[in-house]
Amino acid sequence: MAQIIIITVIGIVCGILIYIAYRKIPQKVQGLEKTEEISSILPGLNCGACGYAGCFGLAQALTQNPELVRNAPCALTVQDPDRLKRLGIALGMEIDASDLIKKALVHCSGGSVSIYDYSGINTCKGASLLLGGNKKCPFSCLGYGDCSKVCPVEAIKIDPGKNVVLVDWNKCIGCGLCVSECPQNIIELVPVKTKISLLCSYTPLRNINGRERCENGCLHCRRCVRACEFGAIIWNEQKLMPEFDASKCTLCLKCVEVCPAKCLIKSVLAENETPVPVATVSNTALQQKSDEK
Amino acid sequence: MKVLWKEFTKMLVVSNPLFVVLLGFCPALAITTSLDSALGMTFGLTFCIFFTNTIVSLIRKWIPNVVRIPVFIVIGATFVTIVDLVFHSYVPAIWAVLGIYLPLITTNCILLGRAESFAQHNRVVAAIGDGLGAGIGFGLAIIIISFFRQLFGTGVLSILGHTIVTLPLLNEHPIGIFILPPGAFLVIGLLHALFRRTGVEKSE
Repeated sequence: MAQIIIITVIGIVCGILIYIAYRKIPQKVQGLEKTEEISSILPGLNCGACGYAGCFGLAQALTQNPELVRNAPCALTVQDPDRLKRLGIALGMEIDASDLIKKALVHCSGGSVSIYDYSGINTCKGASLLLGGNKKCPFSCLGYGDCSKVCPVEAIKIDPGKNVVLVDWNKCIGCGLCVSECPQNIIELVPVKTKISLLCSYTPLRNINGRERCENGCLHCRRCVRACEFGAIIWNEQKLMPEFDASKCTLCLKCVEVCPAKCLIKSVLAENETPVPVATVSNTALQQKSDEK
Repeated sequence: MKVLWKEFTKMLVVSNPLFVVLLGFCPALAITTSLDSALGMTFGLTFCIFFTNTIVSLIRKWIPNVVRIPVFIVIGATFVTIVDLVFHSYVPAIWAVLGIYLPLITTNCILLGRAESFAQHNRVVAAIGDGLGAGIGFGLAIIIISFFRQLFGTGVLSILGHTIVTLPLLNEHPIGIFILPPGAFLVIGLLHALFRRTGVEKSE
């Protein structure tokens, strides 16, 4: 009996002590209120995919630099319009979801021929170690599917005929795992509102003897730039590649028609419509090309 | 007063909780990567041990032997909660670094060990000396460890954002293992060997 009474008394006294301390010490720290508000909006899974130590770490980074949200660090927040809206209010800035939602795009249509028979381990990384890949084009998709192995939603499939991977934009969540996995560096995360995409990353700047572009590759002819009446295509002199401004593009598709190599594709149908799976688009683009031949 | 000083120095050097008795390894390994977190831990642990020891010693005659462990835990947890609240409000950066190791002071072997083996048998003055000695002794130990780990692991020595020393060569090429958990074992092992060598343990 004495034990019960003593433990109860000590418990009550300690409880009162904690209560006094709780009331006397300020609960909110200067500068942390906003961080806590932001972290309550974030998913709270602490997956660490954003590169910060959990959701609170990202919230701290966002408090210091709200512009960071433009890089879309958290794929889960970007996918949820309601959550993104609340995050925008908390950060005090306008966030357009279509700027942030990104999809993986493989800058290759897979027309390059093999220059040797590769029979090593069945990964792109393995093949790329031997003379930079077994394709004639040094920027070609090797087609062993390292990217499809890391894809968490199985959005990437290998087209066995052309040895090129195809991304299904309806499944892609824009996590970027395939981008870092690709040894050829030909996968890019592009904003979902991108209208025209170039399915090639061959640049003549890195001229390697015996390594040439394939017949589907960009000729760097600039016909698309000249064809565009709206100034939506800008020639990047550093990369010798066209760059596309989605805000000016009206989807007239003149650039797609004029392209001699047929490596430009339309990647969305129109505003407000769900993105077309690039798999289908590139398939049709390649289909048309083979029909013409 | 003499008793207090005697107990204080005994815990500080002769039976230093970390280097001699080898207690409290979890915080010593985990939070000694920088001087800041070691200082925070020192303050938190000394505060908790001081008050737990004092109160356990004050009420030692009323604590029934069978329920002494819950009583120590409740008293310890009270002060740990207070330290947690204070750290969260006033030094959020250190609070974030210490993380789970701050609430874990509740089950810290030094805190419970001193209450169990000393405070419940001794008078208040001796218990205060013992508690302060254990807290500061452990604190000095982890500050020494974190000094070496931060200095060799990053090449820069800084306290609360103020850089004190920057080693010219180590700054660019730090010895990474000192920051990693094995580095903590290495430093603790070498310092423990030093303590034995200098004969501190013999005089115990």
